[in-house]
Amino acid sequence: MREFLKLTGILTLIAALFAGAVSYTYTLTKPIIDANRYKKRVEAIAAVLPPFNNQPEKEKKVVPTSKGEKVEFYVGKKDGKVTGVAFQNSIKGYSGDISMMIGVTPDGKVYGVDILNQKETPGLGAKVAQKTFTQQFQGKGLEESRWDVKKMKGDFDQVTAATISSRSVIEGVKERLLLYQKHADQILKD
Amino acid sequence: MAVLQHLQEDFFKGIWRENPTFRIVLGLCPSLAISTSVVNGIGMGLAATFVLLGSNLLVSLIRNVTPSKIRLPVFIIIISSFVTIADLLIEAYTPDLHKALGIFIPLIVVNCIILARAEAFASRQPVLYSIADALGMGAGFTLALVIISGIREAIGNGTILGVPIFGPHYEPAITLILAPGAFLTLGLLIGLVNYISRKR
Repeated sequence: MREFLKLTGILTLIAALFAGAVSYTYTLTKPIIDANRYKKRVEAIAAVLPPFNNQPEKEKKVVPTSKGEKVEFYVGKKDGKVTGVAFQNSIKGYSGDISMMIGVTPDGKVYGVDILNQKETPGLGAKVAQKTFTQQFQGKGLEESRWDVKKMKGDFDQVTAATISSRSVIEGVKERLLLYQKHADQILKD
Repeated sequence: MAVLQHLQEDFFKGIWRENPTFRIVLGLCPSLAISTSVVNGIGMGLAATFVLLGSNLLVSLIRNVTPSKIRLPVFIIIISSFVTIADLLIEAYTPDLHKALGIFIPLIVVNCIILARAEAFASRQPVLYSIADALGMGAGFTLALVIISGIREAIGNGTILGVPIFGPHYEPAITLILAPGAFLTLGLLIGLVNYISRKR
């Protein structure tokens, strides 16, 4: 019995000690990590928008979707005139979610797509994050294009042997373009 | 002089004689899962070496005050805390490295090599030898991952470190970077290593 108490005591002590070390590191690094993530977001917005000179991450409009999500639209302006709108989407890929930042010009045509995070198969599906795949969205609008891979009679090239990942990205961009189209007036309004 | 020789032996045994992947055959889950490209192999290898170093050091330091009946839970607490702390520090101070290693860092907790070294070596040996052991095992693990991922990336994707090596007409054998390729490559390599060491 005494040994039982002694062992339990030691183990509890060690667990508490290390839990303390972990939480101390957490509070120490939290502000830095948050700042890094914010910076990443600002960079991602800049990467998919035409040149602007305001701070789009601060001029955002929030639009609810039919699924109950709240989507933020970041409006880029140059000298007070809207040059483009950026927004994020996260959609199920082949393994895990693919999250992307999409930028459009005010008329709803894609300006840039940037994959922020993905866990697709390295060497296959992961190639959807490469420029060679994401560049093909530039200038594409909802009406003019068939939003699917060529294999399924669409207009977009797919990554070889990664049809699911490719279609997910295409679907993710299309979903947000539809939402933008629906709420464009509200988003572009000052 | 004896100390130096001891250190040397503790280091080099991890690379060939007790190579964690090819000889002890431990930590196969990450080895199979992430060895699709050489960059991944190097990243996982270095991250695991870092954690091995920290856990061997701490386990060795407290080896004389840890009651043997609760040593395993104590090791696990040390390893998982160390992994979490490393994860937070890497994300805060080197976000680019964190993005590249992202999913591998939490995976290290379940890597049996770390626990095996704590139990079989660090809990019985002085700090200095435990550090040599951690570095040697880490180097052996990294080397094994680089060899496996090099073969898989070259044949399965036609590149090494992202650089094409077979020219534009090479048609990659995609199977090699999918799951079956991992088992095939690892199995053949273990066979090869056994063959060589038998011959010696």
